[in-house]
Amino acid sequence: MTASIIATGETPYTRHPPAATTTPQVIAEAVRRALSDAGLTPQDVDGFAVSSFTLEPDHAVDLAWRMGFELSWLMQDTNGGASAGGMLQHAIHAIEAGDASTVVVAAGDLMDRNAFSSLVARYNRATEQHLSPLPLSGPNALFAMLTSRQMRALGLERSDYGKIAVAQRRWAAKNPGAVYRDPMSLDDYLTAPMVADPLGRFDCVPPVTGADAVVVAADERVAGRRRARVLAVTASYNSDNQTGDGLQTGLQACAPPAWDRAGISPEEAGVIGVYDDYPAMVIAQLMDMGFITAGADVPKFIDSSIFTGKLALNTSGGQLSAGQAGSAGGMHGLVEVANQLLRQAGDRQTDARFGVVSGYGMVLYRYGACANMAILESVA
Amino acid sequence: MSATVQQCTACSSVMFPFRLFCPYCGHWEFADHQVDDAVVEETTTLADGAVIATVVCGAGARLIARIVGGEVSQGDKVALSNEPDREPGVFAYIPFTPESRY
Repeated sequence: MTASIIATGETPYTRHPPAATTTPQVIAEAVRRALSDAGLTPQDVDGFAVSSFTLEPDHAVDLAWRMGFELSWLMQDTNGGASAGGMLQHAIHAIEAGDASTVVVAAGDLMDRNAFSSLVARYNRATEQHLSPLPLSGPNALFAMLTSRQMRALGLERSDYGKIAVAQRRWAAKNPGAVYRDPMSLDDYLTAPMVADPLGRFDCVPPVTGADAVVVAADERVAGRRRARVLAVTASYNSDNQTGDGLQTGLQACAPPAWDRAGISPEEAGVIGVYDDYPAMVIAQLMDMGFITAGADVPKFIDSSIFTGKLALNTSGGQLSAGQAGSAGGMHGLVEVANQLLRQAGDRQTDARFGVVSGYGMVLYRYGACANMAILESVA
Repeated sequence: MSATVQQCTACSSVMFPFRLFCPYCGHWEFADHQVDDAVVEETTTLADGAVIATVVCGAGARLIARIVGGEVSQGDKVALSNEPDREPGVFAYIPFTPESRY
């Protein structure tokens, strides 16, 4: 592939946005920060992709207009936690096809209590008709049952998931942008109020208002500058018709071609951003991408690789500690891995040459149906 | 007491929620199929005490339900209903209205 992420932007995340906050305003702030990081102006942009649950009545073109983008390529994505990888995949192809040369990819949401309640109640037709009337508000119960299945399948206990949450909180302490940065012990995790057993409060992401953006540019236009070259992006949609147990994601199908195209193996990835809506999904995706091999002792892997911080996993603190800004949940991991490869990750900077980002999301009825994976390389 | 699911008229596969094409054979004509009971695969108890369950019916479809009228354990057979407040006894409530099929 011949395109790179050259800059990132993330707004401050907030649990309680000021009353006058709007979605377009939040997304524009992330875009402004990304353009500033790139040293570009809105006039330099010729491609724009955006994902948001709360943009209506506006659409992508309304944002383009109000940000002064005159474009030859435009897309709007609806795939929530999988939107970042999907938009990146299309943006790369647009650049390779010559449709655009400087693309801004953004996602964000105003996610206050009302917005969150109405989003989860009417997430899709199946939710509106078969889950909300139970009553059920949001996907916690679904992922609680998925977590129970995974505990049985892999011999995991609550404390194993707690080690993931605690490890991510340690990373969050080094990220000024994370909403939860105070140290958390395993005991704090285990004694937190139950939300839907076996999930407690710290298994669930805090909804926040915020937005993320990256600038993707044709490689020949940015030669010589530090960038995160995109080696591969692959995606999977509706991999099993919701008829399985949800313990395998679409990554199982789309990870092998991603490794193949990038020409590297999981051992070479120095930083990993896994879509962490719940700790169980971190494990599922690490397995599907080959970071945890089939038949491995998973509790031991969690203890020796994740809990110790040896594996540079969700180094921003992930959504579990930094927050989930609606549709920007997927972009958050991409921005963090890009920051690592651009060498602008502050106190949590690693020396990773290769980074991997996964996206996962869109619960149709029982679990997520969209997954994707990007592999990037730090080059200068 | 029963719950309505969707059955493909070509391959007899059973689905829920209702699909537009059969995911197993690609056919696009269906009939309603009544399921009386299902086996409890998992349950979770919410903070308000409500019990949500995954149940699997004999034909293979997995449904998300709320357990009403008593307790169930994994592996139990439980009656299904599309009505949330039916006669006494333990049952699994599956929200469904005929007009929302498609």
